[in-house]
Amino acid sequence: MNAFMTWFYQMSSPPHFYRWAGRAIPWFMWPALILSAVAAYLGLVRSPEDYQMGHTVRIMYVHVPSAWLSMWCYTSMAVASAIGWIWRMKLAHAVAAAIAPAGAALTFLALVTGAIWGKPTWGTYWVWDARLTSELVLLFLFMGVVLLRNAFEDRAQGDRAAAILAIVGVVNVPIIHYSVNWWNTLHQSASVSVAGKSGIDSSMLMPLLLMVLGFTLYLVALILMRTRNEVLLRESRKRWVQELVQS
Amino acid sequence: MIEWLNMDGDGIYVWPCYVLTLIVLIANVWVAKLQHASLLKRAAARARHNDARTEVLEEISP
Amino acid sequence: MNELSYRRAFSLQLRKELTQLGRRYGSVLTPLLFFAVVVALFPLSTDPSPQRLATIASSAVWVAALLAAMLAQQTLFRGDFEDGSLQLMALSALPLWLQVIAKQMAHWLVSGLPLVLLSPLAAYSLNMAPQGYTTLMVSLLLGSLSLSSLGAIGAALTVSIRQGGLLFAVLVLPLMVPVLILGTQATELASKGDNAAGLLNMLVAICLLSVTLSPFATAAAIRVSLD
Repeated sequence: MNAFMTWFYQMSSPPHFYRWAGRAIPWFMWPALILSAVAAYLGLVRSPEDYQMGHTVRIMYVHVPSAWLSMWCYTSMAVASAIGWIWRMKLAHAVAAAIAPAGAALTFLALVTGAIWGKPTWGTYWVWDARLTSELVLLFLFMGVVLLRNAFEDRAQGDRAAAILAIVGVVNVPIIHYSVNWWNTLHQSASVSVAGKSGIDSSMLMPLLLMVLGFTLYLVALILMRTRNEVLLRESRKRWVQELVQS
Repeated sequence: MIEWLNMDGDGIYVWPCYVLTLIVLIANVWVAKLQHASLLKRAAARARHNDARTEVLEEISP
Repeated sequence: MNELSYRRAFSLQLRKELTQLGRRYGSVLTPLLFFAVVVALFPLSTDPSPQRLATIASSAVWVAALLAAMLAQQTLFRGDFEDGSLQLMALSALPLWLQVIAKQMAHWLVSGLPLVLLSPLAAYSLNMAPQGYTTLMVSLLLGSLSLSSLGAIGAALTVSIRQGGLLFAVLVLPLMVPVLILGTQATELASKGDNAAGLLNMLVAICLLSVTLSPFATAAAIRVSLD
């Protein structure tokens, strides 16, 4: 615990973080690349088609990881915002600012792949299905955080305002999720149950899990990259940045 | 090969998903890289500007 | 300050807000008029046969009420921010969240409660079954309270932003999804003659959660906007 606190404390120093992240990014990006490539190979070539959905089940290997990770992004953005708010830690705000657009991109991806998947399953691109509707609301929430942060001239003020919105939002996300699910079951629209309720076959589970892992590592690398940018943006007047660019 | 790409007609749904995912993931990294380069450039310009200012200040100060 | 003077200060603040709002009858009338206009748009944009209107009645009344309640909140802190009294509120010895509650309550009494009272009239015009009226009013009562709390957070976050009006709506509307879902479904169920008590219980839970937690978020947001 003590070692962790020391690490945490060191990480909160922007120059230290900047250098550490620069070294760490390849260690996340390359495994992400390899894992996703293997998962894509397994998913597209080696895994069987579903007896009901046929080959379209292969969309699951990109749709489900994006959907899961978009939720993860919102939660971690709120956690980073809370840390930044409570301990007045600039770096945590930078992390939150870095996550928001990445999360929005993943949510967008989950929405579009879900819609494309909908065409062969439901016969139309858009159905007000529980998962798609939750993702749509999540996209609005992400955009709100990004827009609010942008609306302030003063960066620190924007950070703090966005932090409040993210924290209020994360209290709401489970409520939204459950109410949308409930609303959906009430109206019994064409809902597709992704294989998973009644024991998914290992030939499908393997690529899915590998893809989730690959996406996670990719996301960590992306967030580190974007956080480095946010740090540079916030610290451009500091001496260490000037020394960094001169050397 | 063609048969595999076609996926019994489902290929027109599966492939766009994978291609779009690839595009979005690469674009995110690419944009971050571009932004990083431009931020470093801007910081370098600022550093040069600051150096020039200190030199002038040193010259004019007695 | 002891507890007694908190209570006294709270009621003073509430009275001050109410007299200020009461001086301009527009503050009561505008949300109501807005509500009526939006309700009137629904029959005009569809086939106005009584059967068809009955199917959309609960959603039309709810969406109109949601928009009216939200837009009424938008300028909750605007005047105080511009004339500097928000700064004074933040500096006063009375906790900011308590003043926020007083302000919010005064606003709700003036703009939210009339909506609730008027809603059966709107429901009647849309041919909703009369057995749904009570549930409509109860769900709107609970719903408008939580909407006004959520709206207060949004209003405090966007008060210092020029042209923050659209941003305010974009921030706040997605957060209102659960209230809208539960409220319309409860009304729908009740107008069909079913029991909507379970849904109303959930609305009570959401209402309590938002009313108790939001003043703290609003107070924090005000302090950010004043920085």
